[in-house]
Amino acid sequence: MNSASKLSFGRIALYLVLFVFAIYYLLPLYVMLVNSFKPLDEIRQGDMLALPQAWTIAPWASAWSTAQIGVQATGLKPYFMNSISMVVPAVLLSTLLGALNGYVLTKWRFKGDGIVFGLILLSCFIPFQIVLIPMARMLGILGLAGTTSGLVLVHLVYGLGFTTLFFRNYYAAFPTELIRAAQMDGAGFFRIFTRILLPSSGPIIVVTVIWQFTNIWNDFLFGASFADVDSVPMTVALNNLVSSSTGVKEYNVHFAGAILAALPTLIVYVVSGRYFVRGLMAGAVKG
Amino acid sequence: MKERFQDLLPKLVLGPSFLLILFFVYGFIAYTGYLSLSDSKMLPSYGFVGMDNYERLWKLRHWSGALKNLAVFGSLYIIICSVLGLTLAILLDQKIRAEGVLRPIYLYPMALSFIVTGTAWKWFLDPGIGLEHTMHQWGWESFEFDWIKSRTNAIYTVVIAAVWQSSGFVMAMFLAGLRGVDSDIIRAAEIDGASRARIYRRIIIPLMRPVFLSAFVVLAHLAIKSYDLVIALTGGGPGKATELPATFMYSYTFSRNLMGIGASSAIIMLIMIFSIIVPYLYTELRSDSKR
Amino acid sequence: MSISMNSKTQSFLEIDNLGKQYAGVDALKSVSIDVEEGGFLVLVGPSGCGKSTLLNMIAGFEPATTGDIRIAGKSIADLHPSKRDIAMVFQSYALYPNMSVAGNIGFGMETRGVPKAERLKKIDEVASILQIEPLLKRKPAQLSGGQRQRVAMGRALVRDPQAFLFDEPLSNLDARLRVDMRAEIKKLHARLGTTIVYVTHDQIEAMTLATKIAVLKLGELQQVGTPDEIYNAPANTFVADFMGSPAMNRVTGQLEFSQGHIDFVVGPYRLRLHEPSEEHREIAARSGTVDFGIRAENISEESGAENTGAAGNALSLQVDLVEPTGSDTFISTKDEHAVFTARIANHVKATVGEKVELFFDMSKAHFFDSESGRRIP
Repeated sequence: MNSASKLSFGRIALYLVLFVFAIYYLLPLYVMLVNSFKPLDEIRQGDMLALPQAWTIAPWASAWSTAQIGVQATGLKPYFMNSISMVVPAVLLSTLLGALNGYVLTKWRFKGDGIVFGLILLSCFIPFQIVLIPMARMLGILGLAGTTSGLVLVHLVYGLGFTTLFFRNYYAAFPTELIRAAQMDGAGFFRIFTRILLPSSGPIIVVTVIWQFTNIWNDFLFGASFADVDSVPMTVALNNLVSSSTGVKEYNVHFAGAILAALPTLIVYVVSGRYFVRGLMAGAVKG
Repeated sequence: MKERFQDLLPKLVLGPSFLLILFFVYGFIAYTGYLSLSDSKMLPSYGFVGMDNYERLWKLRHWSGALKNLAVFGSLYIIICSVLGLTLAILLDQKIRAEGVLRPIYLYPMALSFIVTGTAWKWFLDPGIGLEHTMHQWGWESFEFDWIKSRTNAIYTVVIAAVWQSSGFVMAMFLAGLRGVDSDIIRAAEIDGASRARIYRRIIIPLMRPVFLSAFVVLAHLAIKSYDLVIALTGGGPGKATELPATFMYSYTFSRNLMGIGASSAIIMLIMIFSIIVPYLYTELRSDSKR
Repeated sequence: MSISMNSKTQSFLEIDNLGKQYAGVDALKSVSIDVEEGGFLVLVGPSGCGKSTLLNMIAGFEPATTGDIRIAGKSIADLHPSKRDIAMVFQSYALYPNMSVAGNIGFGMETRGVPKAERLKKIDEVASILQIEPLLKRKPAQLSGGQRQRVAMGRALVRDPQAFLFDEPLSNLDARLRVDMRAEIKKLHARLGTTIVYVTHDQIEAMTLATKIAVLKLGELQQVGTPDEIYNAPANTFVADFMGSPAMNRVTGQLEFSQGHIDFVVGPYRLRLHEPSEEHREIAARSGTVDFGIRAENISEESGAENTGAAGNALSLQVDLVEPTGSDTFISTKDEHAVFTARIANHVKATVGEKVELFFDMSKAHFFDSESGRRIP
């Protein structure tokens, strides 16, 4: 073991390989970033890796507030707001329900709870294409077609499986004796939840909120299928911006827009990457 | 009376969520299943046509192309992600000082939307403006990299972008697996005089079989669901060179107004995913309850 | 159950034909135990014997399939755990991790809506009994194992219940602390006089604490009795083996008449019964097979005063293992006929392979039916 930590040819090669991979992962982000600060003609002529010769924030301003998206020249700003007003209630509701479900499934077990959990868990993995047609009709029937509330409902329903899974696995490791002690102290269903479990649930709440936030923010399919002018989320707007076939392709604006769309989840990742990874693992490794 | 209510309370709390899922997931699956047997075109219609849609689906070149693309994309995606992920995990496991910096760098693409990833790579791979253009600028005039415009090679660009996005995640799974191996076993092997390479080959990697399985299941299910990335990167083109079942379903249902065929393709996707996921979850849950 | 009938007036906690089935399998088979008010009942047995199931049924966490539980004559079998007027100390202590020590002790009163001033007063009282006043503001994570144990007891104590339940409360402590806490529990019981039901797998805890021990095996009650009865008159070979350390020596052989006496015979060895009963005589009459049992402390290197009256109580045996413990030394002997462990004084030197003369105190001998394991009185 000791010899491994000495600097040797092998060690240097090892670091070199790891460094090259770091560049591979960082390059696209770097390219987007530097080119979002270049004027358009500089992108067309120059090489994509070079720093801007004439720095400009015009592409950012344009992406945010004036770029043509669909038929309107509103920039991404209203869509950013659409995403926010969709993500916040969807994340909060699905997390709260997931916590309650996990609590019931681990601490108030009943006959058939395994099947209930199995069905909830399986719902995490369905290809969403299977629900697109009936969901479109259902949103119409409920009068939620094309609304942000409709998208909140969609994300709530299809996020419940994961949030339930996270909390179930977390609460499964929570000592049942604590529940019994609290029962003996006369605490009922909700008091045990709010006084005993919730105060100890900090980490899993963070994991779940981050997971849900990332997934819902990044969703494209539901947004593209069910959103209308007033509810189009950021990802769909970005795609419209980038793939609009009319006029000159303003790459620098596209990059600024892409970074704007990525920013919230990137910030969450930088601030609490540890929890983000834990969520990925919990969603993947444990059934 | 109050105690009765307390007994019912857990079911009352779980009930709404469960009913939502029963209705919006399983009810909807059944509905789509029925549509796949109906003569639905632009709107749902309930004329029963048996397996007609499926028969027509399997005759469509468009569909068989999408399946072929999925096979190419899926297998390359799974293999490259696993190999890359495992390699990076093993390299990072060598007491690397900078691990705290490198690991988040490898993993951050997972936090991005596929639309963002697609936007970035679409441009990067565009011969007129991206990598090829830059290489020409640098003086390497003969450099050619125009896969994204090529009918035969475009599907590989989807693999490149998808691997870029997910391989860090696979790395994290493997790293967690490596770290989870009982260090006493490794010490015992060291005392037996085994080299690092042999310890990995004979002891650690075989112990990580469950991680391989998990990685496979996650990647396979992501591959079958892949939609956003294709839309953002190639839009399914050039021609139909990068159509996948997910994009096929969308365009047949909503653009071409052949809902019956769209529904039948969705059912096939569901069958593909469930045939991987259900056995996996079944064994996981069983070992869970044994523990 | 004639005994319980007679003592009906005294019994405080009555476990009456209590049974529990899981998926058709008996986890507990119709167990009946009575405890007098202020008694200390220890449920003991190996893991899976049903002792924890029984405790959880008394606490109300698991419903009974059959039978009844009464405290002071009133059935509690259908009551919610919080309504049974009992308190429990859990194996893991089950302290609420997010609450301070005072919060933990006061939580039950809080849910019952006891005014804050009264709550604080009670918490202080209990804290002074257990000498944990300086810890009241701390969180469980900041406490040592012994301190957590005290807080868990405090939480039970503050309720001033009709009975305390203890679920292996000392099993998470290190050996030294376990002995200390055991003594404290015993003192506390003497001071409070509250009825206690206590589960353990440690037979020394059972012996030292109990006024009554119930030994369980695979959901079946093997014997209920005072520690003295359990130790000195085990009802069967299971109880004999389980209680006492090292385990009771047991050898299978025959009872035979010999010069008007009865001898236990195995191979070349003969040991004379001290005061044979009628049943011993019957068996001897047909040279029947029995299991002979004797505890290590009843075999020694010197013929003590109590042995002098009896003849035929000494055997010459070959030493196989010597285990000094400091205070005493255990020697084991072994040959093709019998294996014995004897406790001898620590100053006596024994050497492996040598023969030693060992004296058996046959007044402390036990005999069991070699098939059923039942004690032959």
